[in-house]
Amino acid sequence: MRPKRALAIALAVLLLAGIAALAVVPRLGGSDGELTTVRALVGSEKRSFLNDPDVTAALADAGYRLEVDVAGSRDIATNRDLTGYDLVFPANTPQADRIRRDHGVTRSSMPFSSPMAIATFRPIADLLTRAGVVRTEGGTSYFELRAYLDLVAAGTRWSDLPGAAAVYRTDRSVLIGSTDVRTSNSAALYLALVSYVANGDEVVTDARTADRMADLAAGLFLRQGYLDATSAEPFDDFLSIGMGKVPLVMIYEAQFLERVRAADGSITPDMLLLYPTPTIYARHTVVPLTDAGNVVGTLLATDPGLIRLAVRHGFRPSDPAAAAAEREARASSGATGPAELVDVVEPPSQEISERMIDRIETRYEEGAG
Amino acid sequence: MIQRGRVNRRGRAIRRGAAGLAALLVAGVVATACSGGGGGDPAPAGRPGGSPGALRVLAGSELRDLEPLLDEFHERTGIEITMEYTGTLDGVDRIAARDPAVDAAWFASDRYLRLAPEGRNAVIDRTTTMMSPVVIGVRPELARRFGWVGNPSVTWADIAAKVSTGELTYAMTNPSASNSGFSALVGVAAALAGTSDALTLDDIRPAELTAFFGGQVLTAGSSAWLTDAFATTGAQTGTPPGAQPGARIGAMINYESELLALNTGRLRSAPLTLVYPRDGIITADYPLQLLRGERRTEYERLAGWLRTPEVQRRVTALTHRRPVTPGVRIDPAPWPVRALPAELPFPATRAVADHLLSSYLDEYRRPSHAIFVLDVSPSMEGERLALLRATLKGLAGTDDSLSGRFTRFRGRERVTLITFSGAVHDTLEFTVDDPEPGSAGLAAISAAADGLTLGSGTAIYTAMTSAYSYAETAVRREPDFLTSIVLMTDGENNQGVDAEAFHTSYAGRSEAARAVRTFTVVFGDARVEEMRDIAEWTGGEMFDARSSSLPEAFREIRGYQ
Repeated sequence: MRPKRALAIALAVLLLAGIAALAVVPRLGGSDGELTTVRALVGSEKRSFLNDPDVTAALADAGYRLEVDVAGSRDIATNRDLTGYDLVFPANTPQADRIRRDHGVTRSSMPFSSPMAIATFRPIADLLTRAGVVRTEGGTSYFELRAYLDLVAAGTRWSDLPGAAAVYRTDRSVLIGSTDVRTSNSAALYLALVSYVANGDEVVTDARTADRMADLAAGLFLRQGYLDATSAEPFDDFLSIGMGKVPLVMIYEAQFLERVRAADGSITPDMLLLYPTPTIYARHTVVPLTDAGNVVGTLLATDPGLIRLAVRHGFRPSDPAAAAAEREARASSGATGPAELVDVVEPPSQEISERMIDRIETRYEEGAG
Repeated sequence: MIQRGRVNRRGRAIRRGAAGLAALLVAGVVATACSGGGGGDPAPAGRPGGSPGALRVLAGSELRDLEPLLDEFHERTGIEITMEYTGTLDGVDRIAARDPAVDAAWFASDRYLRLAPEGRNAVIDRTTTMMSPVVIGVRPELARRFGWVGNPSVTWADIAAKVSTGELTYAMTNPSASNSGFSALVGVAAALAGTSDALTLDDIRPAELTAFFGGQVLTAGSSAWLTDAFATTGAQTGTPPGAQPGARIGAMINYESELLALNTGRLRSAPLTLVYPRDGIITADYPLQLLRGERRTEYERLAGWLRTPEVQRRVTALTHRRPVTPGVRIDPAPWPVRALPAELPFPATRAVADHLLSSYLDEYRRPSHAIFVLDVSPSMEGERLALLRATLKGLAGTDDSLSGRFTRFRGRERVTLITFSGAVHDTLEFTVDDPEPGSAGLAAISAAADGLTLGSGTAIYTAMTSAYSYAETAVRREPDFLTSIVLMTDGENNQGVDAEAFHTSYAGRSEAARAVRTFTVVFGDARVEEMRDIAEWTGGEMFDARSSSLPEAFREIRGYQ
């Protein structure tokens, strides 16, 4: 950050300190003019939002400085030592619930959500359209999960698809690229979608079906080989390496829209976003571990400026008024995905989800994969 | 040339103790700067990055080429980056053990590290910084003859076919020492398995892999050294069945960036043809990894700066690696292709990766013959001899660290110990049939290490002359072995023939004998000039055990055998 801006922020903070009585949100700790440091462990897909200088400035206005560490959301819930953190910000409610249970926390806030989507390239989308997996309707391209699972079940390789020789000559299997289901929420949501479709369009509710679905879905992950731990990484590869590494990658809609809205040249005309049918929402949830963490979580969910910034980073806000405005803006622009998604499912319970993931984890530990 | 052990950014080798002291001093300076508050504090006040600190980075040696940029980063931010270079597996060992002497790690790839929970959990954050795929550069005349110029359809199987007829030999780093070799091993194993998915143990095809790696006629512990050796002599070590004795190495498997640097530099007049196998490649993405939360500010400043479009473009121009920041595009030249072919899947589990490494060493690669020429002069008495014994026994199975496991003597390997003082004492020969600790071959080497006895005087050149006589016979008898010599001494030559006599006898030997490289280990009071001269004369390399340790120097040399 430039010294000038730092100076401006420092002045703003001093000014605020002078009129602290008027502040909407009370500040905790720290003496006048100093920012309270809040340490956060967050899912990788929110890093660029939380590190946006405008977010830093808005939080500084309220007296806070955020220090962000990144981990896979499931990793945050199951594996990480949370000592020293003021808040955690996993990508979904079930993980947040688990953390609340394990740490005896009652509070939480859900500032925004993002549906799962699939980033791809036009030549790939064209191949899949011909194969009956992708269909385009009203400017939005949808990805039929059932048709996809049929291709996977048949062991289809890219080179088997009609027209592949000209655009994507590889003998690798047709598989959506994902993160590691053992660490990352986006992979867990992919698993939730697959288990729903494979279970005859029913959310899995019993243990026996969960085991069967896990066995069926395990290959979708193991067959990809080594997988990244967090959602940001495969999308990074999508943007920088392109089709060769990841022809299809399961991401949060927000990851793609953030880039579109930043207009930084990273989204080229040959890239597009597919919406799986059905899809599922990731509900990004703040679990405060300290009072300072709680204030920041509340700010993220209620401060109009911060909500606007979240929208800039591609998220769909929870706040009803902001959500309505965001839908309207989408409807008028037409280039940023559908304002409302109809075919949306709920994830299975935390117990069922964990059971499926544990079963897939066992397959990894067996080592032959 | 390679410098051993801790090396700071300006290339000065510093001792372990000194490095620790330097780190303490830096920490002290930082602490002073922090507690200084206002007043004489030279740091720009109010900078959100906090006070300028330091970042100690454990790094792969190929990252040396970024040093000018890191100096500039220091000037701009006040954050000093201290690079300590080491091999891939040694790096994994130290990261997993949470070595307190490092704040961050920066290697070509972290995939192997992240296959193990202890490795995964040691990393707080990571940022990829640049990219380079591992591909094959083929001598232009061969590429033309094979019809590979501008041909996007060449597969790894096509390359394997030319290897099996003896038409193609190649240089590649040792997969247990260097990421480019490891990537090649993993990629070739996946490609030759013919599976459309990630490799499982059942898919691995040992016969095909043995045929493919039979063509590897030069190995090395680092990609940069391999490039150098390939460009300077291009001489192959040993002769695989079907290949021409004494022929130049036909190709090199290495990072695209290394191959492009050769093509725009030393091989400008006859640039290699870069082949990007259609069935896929493995790409290094150089993640900068944060290991200590206290250094997050410094890490983020460095990672953020490296990913700015401006710095990405400079990295690209300086190193020929590809940019990772979305929106930064490469110019067509010198890259032969903009879009890379499909990425081959990397194994999902450590079991598969380790199986490939072990099988490569014990089974797929050409067998090796390691000739150790060991000084047992009186100055070695006491601690030094004890250390030499422990080092040899470590290689014979007692070292159970990750790097120890993959640098120990391997299946099919011949090991010769030539001891000398004022004259050559013994020439002891061993064959390792079984790489498991305690096997007959390894136990015999351990016993020989225990039995080392001292003589008087130091006759280095006499011993080397004798070692080359021995090697000449060995390579005639077993031309398909990768044969090399390691010379370890702690003193200077004071008896026997002189350097010139050794040079003369060396020059008069067969081509195959002259292709045997000598890797020298400087220990105790050895004379650096003598040791460097022997390494350079024979196309080998000098390692300084004084700046690291004797076991570390030997482990590193194992990458070149």
